[in-house]
Amino acid sequence: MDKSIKIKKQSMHKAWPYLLAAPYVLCYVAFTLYPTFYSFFLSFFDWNGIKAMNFVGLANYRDLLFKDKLFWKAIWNTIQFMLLSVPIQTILGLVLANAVFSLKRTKRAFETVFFLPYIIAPIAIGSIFSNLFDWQYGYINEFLISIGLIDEGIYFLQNPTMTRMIIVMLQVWRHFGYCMVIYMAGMTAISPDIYEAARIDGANEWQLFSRITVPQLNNLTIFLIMTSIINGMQLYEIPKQLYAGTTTATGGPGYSAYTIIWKFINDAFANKMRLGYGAALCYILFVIILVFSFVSRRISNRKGADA
Amino acid sequence: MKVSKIIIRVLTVIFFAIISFICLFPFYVLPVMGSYTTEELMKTLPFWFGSSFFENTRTLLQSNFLRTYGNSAFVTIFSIVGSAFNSVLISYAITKYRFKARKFLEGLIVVTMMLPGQISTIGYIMEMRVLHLTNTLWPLVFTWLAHPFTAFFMVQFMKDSVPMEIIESGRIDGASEPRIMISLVFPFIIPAVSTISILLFMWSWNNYTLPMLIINNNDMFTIPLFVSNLISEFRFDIGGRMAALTWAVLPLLIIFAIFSKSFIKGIAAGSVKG
Repeated sequence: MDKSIKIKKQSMHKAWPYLLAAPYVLCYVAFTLYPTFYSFFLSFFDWNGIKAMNFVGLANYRDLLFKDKLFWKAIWNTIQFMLLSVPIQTILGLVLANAVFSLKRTKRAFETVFFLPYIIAPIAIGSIFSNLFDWQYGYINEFLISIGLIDEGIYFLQNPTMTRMIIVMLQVWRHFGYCMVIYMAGMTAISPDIYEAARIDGANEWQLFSRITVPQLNNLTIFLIMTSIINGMQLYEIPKQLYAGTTTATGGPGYSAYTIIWKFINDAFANKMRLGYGAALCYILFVIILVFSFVSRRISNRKGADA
Repeated sequence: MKVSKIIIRVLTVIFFAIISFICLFPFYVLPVMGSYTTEELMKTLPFWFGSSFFENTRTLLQSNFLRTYGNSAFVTIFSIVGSAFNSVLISYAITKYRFKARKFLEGLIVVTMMLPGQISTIGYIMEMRVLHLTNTLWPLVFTWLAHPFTAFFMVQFMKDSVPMEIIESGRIDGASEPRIMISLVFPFIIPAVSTISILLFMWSWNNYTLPMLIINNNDMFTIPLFVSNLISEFRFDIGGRMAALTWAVLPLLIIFAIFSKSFIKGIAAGSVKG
């Protein structure tokens, strides 16, 4: 082979990985990286997208953190939903995974049925349950009346406390099957020998579960909690759709269903068009998510060290 | 001893039955309610199918539902093809070549996976406005073209499942790099490609917030927009709304019914490794 051709072939060989990575990288720069920086830039401006941009420095951040009461309300709501739903869905997922895993014929069926809520559009979930919990024409009131528990329909969605409970419940409903499926995948990786040895030593079912299964799945628990936190902070479509078209279409009764992203959409787009303000809000959300994941990682690491 | 065992068994069965019921009931109620007129629904709540499903569907068709369906299909197909294409290529580069930017690119994918999407939303919308792409479907496709999770998933998969020897042997035989990718590597990665395709199908089909912010022209509505619009404009057409939701949910249910095994496996595998 001619030497120059060989060199050419080799340098071509060196260009290949860059060529292959280029479409992704270019798309990333164009559609994520640039907009991310542009959002950051905008967070220092007062701008509605049409009139001249007005530099305001850190005023957007200051107003959000110290003046905007609704911002704190939205954050507190979102964190509350998360703190209540994440433990329930994770534990329920783990318990069900443990129960379903040992089944033989029905294992796949349960896996599929429990996973179903996860694949459906959150917006559909919101409107289905908005119907089910309806005061006059909802199945849930109908059911409660028919078994004689109540005499007339409850205004589920017009009561702040019940609103919160319903949103937590929907989050659990949507995610427990996902947790279960992931735990079940983790369980296939645990060697049966460990259980065998423990059984010979006289361990009962509960001890097998708490001393072997749970610690072995520790990494998955961390993963599930981390992703649930990131997803939970972005809760928006379900609560929004629960109240779509009602008199409390923004935030539910007394803003009890108002979440951070809901506030973001409202402030940045719906009627106010405060783009800079919305951008600042997103960056604060980003910092909150970072703190949460950092803290949960620290806690889980310490736990890991103890075990 | 024996009695208590039976009791536990019965309780377990009841427990599973209740949870299954809670998971399935909302999906059952959709077509059932969708098959009645709103007046009928105001009187009694049905537990079995009525006769007005096609009448409700006809009303939907009059308000551009077919076009909406087509829009959603367009966005979903282009998102899947584009995103899968990009992430397969970059993951192939990262796992099968040694080059300077390799570690950097891998790190970039992992780090960007943690960023909340909203952080770029405002900038993205302004960018699309400047490019005169608002009220077209392209922004809804572009947003998936560099998706960190699908790239991450492909990188993990290629690391384990595509043997380097195959590629080397292809090179020795003098096959060109694209040829090696298409005829030697691709057969190995079909399961992973189908997994990310199903995930992208779900995300893109269900996507609501971005289309809501970018599109305000009825002709360009995707299904979630159509449904949500229906709800705020015709709050009291319950039957029609439920029929619309039934049609909106149906494609996903079909895909899930066909691919549920690889779907569940894929999601689980992606997380167990990550």
